[in-house]
Amino acid sequence: MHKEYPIRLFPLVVLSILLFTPTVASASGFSGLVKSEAEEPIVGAMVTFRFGSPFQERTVFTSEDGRYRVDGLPASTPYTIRVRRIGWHDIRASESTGSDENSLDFKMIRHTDPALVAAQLPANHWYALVLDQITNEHEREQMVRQCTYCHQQGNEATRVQRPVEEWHKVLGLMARMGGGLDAEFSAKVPELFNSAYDPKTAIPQLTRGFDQPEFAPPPNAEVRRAVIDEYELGGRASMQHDMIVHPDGIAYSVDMATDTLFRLDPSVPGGARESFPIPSAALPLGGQDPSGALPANTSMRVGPHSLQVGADGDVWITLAVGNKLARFDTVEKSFIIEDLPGGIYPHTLRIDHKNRVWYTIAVSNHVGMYDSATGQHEVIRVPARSFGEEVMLRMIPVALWLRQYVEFDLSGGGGEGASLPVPYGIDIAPDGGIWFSQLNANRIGHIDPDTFEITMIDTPFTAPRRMRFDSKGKLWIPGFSSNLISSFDIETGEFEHIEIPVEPLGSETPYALNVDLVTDDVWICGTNSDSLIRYQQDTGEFTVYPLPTQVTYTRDIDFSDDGGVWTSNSNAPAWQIETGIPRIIRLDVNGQISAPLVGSNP
Amino acid sequence: MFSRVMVCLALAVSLAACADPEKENVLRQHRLDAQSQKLSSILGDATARVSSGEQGLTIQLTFGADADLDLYVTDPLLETVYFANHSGKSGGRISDDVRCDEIQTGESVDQPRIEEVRFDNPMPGLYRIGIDYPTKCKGGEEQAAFAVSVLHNGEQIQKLGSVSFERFDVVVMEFEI
Repeated sequence: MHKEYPIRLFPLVVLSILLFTPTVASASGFSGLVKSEAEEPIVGAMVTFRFGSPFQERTVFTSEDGRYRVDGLPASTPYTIRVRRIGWHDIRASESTGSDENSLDFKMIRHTDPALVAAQLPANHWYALVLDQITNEHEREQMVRQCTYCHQQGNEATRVQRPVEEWHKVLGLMARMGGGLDAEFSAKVPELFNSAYDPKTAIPQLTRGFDQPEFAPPPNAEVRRAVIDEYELGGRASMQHDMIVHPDGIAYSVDMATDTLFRLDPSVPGGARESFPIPSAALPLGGQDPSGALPANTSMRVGPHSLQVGADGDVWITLAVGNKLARFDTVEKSFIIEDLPGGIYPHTLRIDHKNRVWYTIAVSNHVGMYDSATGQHEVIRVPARSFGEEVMLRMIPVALWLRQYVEFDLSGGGGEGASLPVPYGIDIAPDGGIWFSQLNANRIGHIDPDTFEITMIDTPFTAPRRMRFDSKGKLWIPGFSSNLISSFDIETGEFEHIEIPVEPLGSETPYALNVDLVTDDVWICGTNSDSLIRYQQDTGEFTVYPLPTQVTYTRDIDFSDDGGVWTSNSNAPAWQIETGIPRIIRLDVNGQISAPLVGSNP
Repeated sequence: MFSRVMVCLALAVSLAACADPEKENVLRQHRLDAQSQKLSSILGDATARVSSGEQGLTIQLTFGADADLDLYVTDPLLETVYFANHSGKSGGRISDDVRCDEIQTGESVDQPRIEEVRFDNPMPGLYRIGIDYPTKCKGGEEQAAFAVSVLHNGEQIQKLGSVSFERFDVVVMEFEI
């Protein structure tokens, strides 16, 4: 069967019929050609097939000659298809597999309206317009760190001009959620955003030369070999903060906003999903000490944040607002909840070779350790930067108690997020040492796992976030607000920075990285640019893999034994994500991971 | 920063120690209840004036001029319409944000103000109303009274209450249509 979708876009009515009128047959793939109205091949277009409910989307890229091929699709299933390339109208169509080899060709139409092209660009392009206006480094630092703390400014919901008073209310709300700016800079922010996002100037700047081949060049041939699978997971109020791949191949993801652990079996066509509500112990909305500003659609009472697999296969989870740890037995599919003896906001965790759980405690500036074999808990206080900070941190529990009686603002004017040091990422060195970062203090620290002695080291860059060791014992750290990754030699204490070459330069916000211990490639969250980024240590090369969904905000990365690179889209709020529901994502770099297929999914 | 925190702490501890919380709470609550009742009656009049209310869904929040309260309405698609997200995919849209700076010179602090979220063709499902108190206006106190009205197909329900400064009450009311 060969079809060609015509040069004109489908009228909406026809398209609607196509979308909901499946035909049924059996096969396992499509191939075809994507070309322009002038019959020229379009290189690097993303061709996405969606199927199932909740859906899975599989995306491939067109090659140098405009051809694509997608395999491993389940049979007897209707698909919706989207063809996407920046600078061109999206094509949306519907099909079903009809034979062993289905051929579908597409003709794309160039955008003529620059506003529509600008809307296709990832958030970092727009954000660069804001950053270009800031000359003060301290202010730039605040802008990058705080204003993209939890979400991109990735679509028209956020890239709007607002009255100054409305901006101030937005910033006030943001500060109460932990993303505070100092008063002086806060006063400047409305004008900065309103000026940067003014369509009259922003669109011409963003789309200069958009009808030229050099504009938004296609990804290189290596990227075009990749296959990307996205699995819709949760609902429109979900926030799939972190995900991991269990050694048994199952993916687990924690939905912080709905207190749910999700299980996804990618070996089943479409991905078999299960969800497990995490016991909330009758806590109020917002948890043990509810923040003054929760998302309006939340049902969070314990707030599962991060997860890791223990030596016995159990999944350990930090419950950030419940101030607990959860242990999920993947066989019995049941939870054990562990109360913690101290600290506020258990955050990111790792498990050492003795199966002890180490976790950063973000608000109260601690690192915790729990040994489930002995029941031993340790809550290790991280040194403050000054006496004043030490006192402030020790007074937090008192302040939280007092807040029920009197107004009490620890932030000193809306800058709380910037003033707390915030222990953040954590990892275990090959020698067993515990290393962690302090996001706002620009420091990393080492904990002796036996004596709990702490050593702190200033980082020569800002906002060290979620870091990892490579197989040789080198620590890799992303600078969230400094657009770089840095390697740290724990023997010599030397840092080496490498700038992330995402265009426009300086606009990336790498939230996390992870190192593939087979290749020692460093994988980085392109949190602001809808991408995953690979840095190959042996060649010193970066490769940027664009992800298909607009507003893909990522916070961690994991790997499966078959070579898959996994992450989750955890933009908060989820409704700002294209389609409005989070996904977990698998990048198959060479397109060689055997598909689960071919089953019947009527 | 440090000295400011210490001063705040000292003040807060003193206040917490010296106050008679129970008596003060009772008095405060009576005052808030009375204000809510007054707002409710005004809201009743205002709701009656909603021109297209009989066919759609109208949610109104009224509050005094001593506080800036914000109305949040989460629709069945779990998208929230509020002062920073003026409209949602299910059709909800908010009236102009009513802020402290909207108060006209000479306006009494007793003058109630109204924020409204309106759905012309409301989607069936669960709706959630939240109220935040982010800013004190002139004369504002730690708690502010409010009245909320839900008008759907000619039927009205109301909820009266109060919110605390900088404590977002995420679920003031949930209802299904």
